[in-house]
Amino acid sequence: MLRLDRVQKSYKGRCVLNIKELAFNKGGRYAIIGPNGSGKSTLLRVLAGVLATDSGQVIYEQGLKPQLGYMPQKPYAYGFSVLRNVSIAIKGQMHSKQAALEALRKVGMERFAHAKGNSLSGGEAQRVALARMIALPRPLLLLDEPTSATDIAGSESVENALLDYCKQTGCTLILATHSLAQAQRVAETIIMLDHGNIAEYGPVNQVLFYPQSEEGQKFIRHWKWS
Amino acid sequence: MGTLQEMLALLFGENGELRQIIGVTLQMSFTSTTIAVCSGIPLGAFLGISDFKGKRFVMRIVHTLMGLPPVVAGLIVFFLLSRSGPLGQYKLLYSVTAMVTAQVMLIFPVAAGLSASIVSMRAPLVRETAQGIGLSPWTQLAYMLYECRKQLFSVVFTGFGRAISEVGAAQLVGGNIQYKTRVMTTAIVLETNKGNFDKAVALGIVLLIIAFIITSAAQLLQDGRPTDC
Repeated sequence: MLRLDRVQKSYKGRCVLNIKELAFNKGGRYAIIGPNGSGKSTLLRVLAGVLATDSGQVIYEQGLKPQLGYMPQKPYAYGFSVLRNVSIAIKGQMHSKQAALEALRKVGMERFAHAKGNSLSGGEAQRVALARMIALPRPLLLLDEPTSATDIAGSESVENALLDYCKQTGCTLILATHSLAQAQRVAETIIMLDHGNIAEYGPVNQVLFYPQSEEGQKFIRHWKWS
Repeated sequence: MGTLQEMLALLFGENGELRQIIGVTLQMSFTSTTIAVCSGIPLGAFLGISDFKGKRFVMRIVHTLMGLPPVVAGLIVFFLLSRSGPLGQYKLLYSVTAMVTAQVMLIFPVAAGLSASIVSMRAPLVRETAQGIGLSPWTQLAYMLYECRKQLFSVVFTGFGRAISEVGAAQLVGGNIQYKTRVMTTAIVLETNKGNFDKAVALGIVLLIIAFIITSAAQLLQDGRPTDC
């Protein structure tokens, strides 16, 4: 449903993404892992279409791009109510408030429905942003470290909500994460990036327990399981 | 004491000239500020939120125009509206419309430049979130204006302050005609030139009081406004 073909991206002369070919299958759950500056966020931004590539192309299945949902690393919560923050993502649909409330309930944020968006903590804002993503059926979700600021309980409710959503809608999920444990819980396939290149690609257990590349082995060895 | 008596006499005396001058001043300031901010703020927000080739050049022009000397703006409007100018046939020179036109030329770049700076500071935070949920560019712009409303309110104050205190352009294109285009600032200049310093100071105090009342009322309105959605 989504394919990258010889995609390159540089910032100030430094190549941050260099992917010859990468394909994502419909309904698959993918985790992008790798050290800081490995290109995880850049890859997601390129896939979401919010960042243009220097060369190569991202090929979307017909009609996919306008329907995809992308959650950046630091999602913004507008100054109006949390409920409206979620319902703005549900364009022109009836019962948008009910759908927004239901999405907030799924991420454990329904009690904040009438609070102001700009009064939320970083973790709460992330959960509201995730409610925006799951408030309506989308064929593709791109999430950049969706629980980086949430506590353990919050992370758990977010992961459960995501898995339920994927099961119900059959959507493709691609998330960048620093937590290998989260990658193992949520994803089926792992893409490990190193200096913008794909260092490892494969099923979760294969990549996490039997990495093939030197970079992969080094990364897994040093990383905390959290 | 003399100045205070002069001020009270001007305000409440039988001669209604000052009240008429205040009326023209407010008409000119409100109209020009409204036109300039209603066009300048959306343009500034667009400049702040968007990325396009040549944006830096456009911003440089806007920043240059922010410092446009009032007499230069007045001179441009004067040439445009003078009998031999391209808009001479409309006979607008020495009218409140001419003064408003010159004021808009002065306030519009200020509104656009300040709004662009305000919005561009917040844009990187908001842009990706808005794009990520598929908001249209117009909706993004509208929400951005909402998010920056408090800072943008200060842009309106700045514009109004420039309009009500401006003298060079108003004098040049308005002509300081009694009972027609005389405003507070041009009246102050006239009284100073005539040597009526008490009257000039009294007019200055009245101008300050008017500006204070209007900005205080607007501030109260802003602070007291519920922002629930």
